[in-house]
Amino acid sequence: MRLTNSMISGNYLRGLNSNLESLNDLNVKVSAGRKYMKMSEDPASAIKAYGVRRDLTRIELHTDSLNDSLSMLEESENALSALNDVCTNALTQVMQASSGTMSAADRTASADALRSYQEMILGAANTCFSDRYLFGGASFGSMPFTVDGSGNLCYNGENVDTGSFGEEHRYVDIGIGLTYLSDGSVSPQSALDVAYSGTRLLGTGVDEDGLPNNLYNLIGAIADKMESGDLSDIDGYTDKLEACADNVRMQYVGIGEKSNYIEFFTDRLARDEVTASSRQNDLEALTLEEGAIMFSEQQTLYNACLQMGTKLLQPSLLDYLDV
Amino acid sequence: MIRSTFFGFEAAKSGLTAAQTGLDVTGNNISNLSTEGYSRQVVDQSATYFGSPSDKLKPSGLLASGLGVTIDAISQTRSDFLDLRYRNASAEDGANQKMNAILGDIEAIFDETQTDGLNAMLEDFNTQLQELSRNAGEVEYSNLARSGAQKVTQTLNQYAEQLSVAYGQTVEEMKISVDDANTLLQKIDTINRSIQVATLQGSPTNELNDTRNLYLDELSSYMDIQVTAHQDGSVSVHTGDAALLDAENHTLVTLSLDDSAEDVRLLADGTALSPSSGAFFGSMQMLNGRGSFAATGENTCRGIPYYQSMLDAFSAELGQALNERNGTGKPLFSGSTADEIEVSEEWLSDPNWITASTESDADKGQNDNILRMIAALDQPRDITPGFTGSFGDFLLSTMGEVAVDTDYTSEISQTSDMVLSTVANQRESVMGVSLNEETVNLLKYQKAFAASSRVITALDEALETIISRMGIVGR
Repeated sequence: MRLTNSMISGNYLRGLNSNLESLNDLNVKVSAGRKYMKMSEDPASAIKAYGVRRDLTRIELHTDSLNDSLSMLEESENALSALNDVCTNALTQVMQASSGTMSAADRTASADALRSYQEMILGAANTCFSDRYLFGGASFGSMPFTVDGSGNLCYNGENVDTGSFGEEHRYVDIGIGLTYLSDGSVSPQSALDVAYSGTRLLGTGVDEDGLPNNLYNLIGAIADKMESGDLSDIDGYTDKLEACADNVRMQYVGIGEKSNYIEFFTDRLARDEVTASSRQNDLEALTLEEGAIMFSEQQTLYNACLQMGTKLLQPSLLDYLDV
Repeated sequence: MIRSTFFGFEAAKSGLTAAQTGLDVTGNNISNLSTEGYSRQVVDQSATYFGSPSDKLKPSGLLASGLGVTIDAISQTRSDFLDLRYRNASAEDGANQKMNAILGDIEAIFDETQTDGLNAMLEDFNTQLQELSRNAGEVEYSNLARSGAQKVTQTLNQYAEQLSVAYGQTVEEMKISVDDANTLLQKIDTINRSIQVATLQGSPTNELNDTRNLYLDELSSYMDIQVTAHQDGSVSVHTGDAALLDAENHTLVTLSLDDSAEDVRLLADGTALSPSSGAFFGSMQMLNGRGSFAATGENTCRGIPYYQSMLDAFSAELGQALNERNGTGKPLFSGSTADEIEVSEEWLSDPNWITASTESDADKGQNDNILRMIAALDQPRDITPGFTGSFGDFLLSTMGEVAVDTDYTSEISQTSDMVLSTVANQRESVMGVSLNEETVNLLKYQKAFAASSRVITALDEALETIISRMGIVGR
């Protein structure tokens, strides 16, 4: 091929330019620590990386949800512990009273103590943690237990002795694939149920002997009994109170089970996060060594190109002739 | 037969003239060493001979040869074939560069490699909804969810705006290019006329040809052109079947751009042209390309309208999905296109307009409906006829399309650039000026000049001998 001067200079300039471009490109990448600066440079990695970013956001979000649920559970544990203490104290009071050696004044005092326990129970059952009523079941927003004008305990507005209460659920999405059943309700396996129903906490309805299943009402009934002075059938009440106290204790112990469950998921998410982070690193990050080697290679190339230019562009036959 | 006295002088004189012309042409080549579009010129010379079809006029014997040298022409070294290849490559490259530039603009809109865009905003909205699901009924969380939704709609508005700006700029750029192409055609027409006159007068047209070739090269980057040369030196220019410049019939069209209809059209005196490559083709692919939304006969390239339709489909489906979840007559979003979608006025004035629960009042703090919204965002749905997946997947897939298309056009524009420079090199190898070669020519013509001078001196001395020294014996 016949080589002309403008071909040589044109080709040289193009080569020099593309070398400088690569050098600049690498410089930008190394200083940003990224493998690519635009998604079109590596579409496959870029789209995967967006997916990983989404995963990471979700992992953070679900970890946050789980931590939030765990702290609510810890608060519930505190409330149950208090409730458990109240039950123990109430039982002691009732045992003493049922031994039949109490004077009328003692009985009144005992009844007063029981009434104050009632208040404590109400307080514990209405525990509010960061604006959320822990034992509100599906509803967090309003105080679950209220006493109406005639002194009846109501749960979410319904009398606990006479009302009918269904199961309550309140789900939190923890990234295990929130799905819905055909009836439009959340599939229980697909989310974390954080509802703590107040009905389960304190009990509802009355048993076959006409005694309330509800702890608050039972203690109230016992206090009434003491004030009336007729303690002949107190044993039935004592047994009932023991059963209720057992129920509270069982719930108190059961909390641990649920927090284990949450911790299991938290651990899993932590592992997922490590995997996702390292995947993000693989997809997006340019290691310093890699970048430095590539950069210095390119720099050598560029320098060589510059040096060649001084030799290539200058001389022609004219430089060697005396015309 | 007797030789005429001054026969040799004429031959030597023609040698001097030829060498002088050679020096002039070499000098001209060297002075145009770096002139763009300059084709190297050479002296076409041949040994002089008498040629006549008639035997009567035919010289005979000694007179038939040794007549010296004739300069036939000063011609250009240029290959029509390489010009053709160059212009095809230039049109191809023009189209690819244009598409690459416009796709680069589209990519800049969708790219979230270094910034947060729609994908991040959608995730953010999801996060806010999750927060709200844990704190349902609390107005500050409803507020956050609403601002999350606002960020999504505002980003959609912004994307739509940026796409329409890219569209407008492409139209404007194309209009400027169309004006440029018109100017080029006019210039070519003018040079055509000059060449016709010069050819008639027998004057050289080398420099005029070079200039016209430059204009033709420039024109070829806008669209695919076919150049036909005529006897009188003029050229006609066609694109496809349509004549742009007809030198024989002296017609010259005026190009214009019609952007009043849905599809942008390139018109030549009112008739639509459909270039098959060149920057005009590239621009029109991007301006009219509706991708999978194209009706029969419409452009199926994934251009700006395609991405606008994708965003519109996304906006419509997102609005509809959440409005449906929020309850009949309680829209969270209004507007169904990407440039119009916004948080509904009702939601703007009341953060708790978002239905947290379908089972009880908002202040109870139940969250069942928020969870349904979260699930709705991730649930696979038919967003466009060819796509089934969640909103997030749809965005990733759209971004993937932008990235892959940009990557592809960037690759092929690099390839076509390489092809163009290879052809340009081949052409330059024929038409370019080589300093070494010209230096050699300089030496050659200089020596030829000196030698011819010496011949005259020798002949002169010979005559001198005859005139002054012959027959003086015994004087």
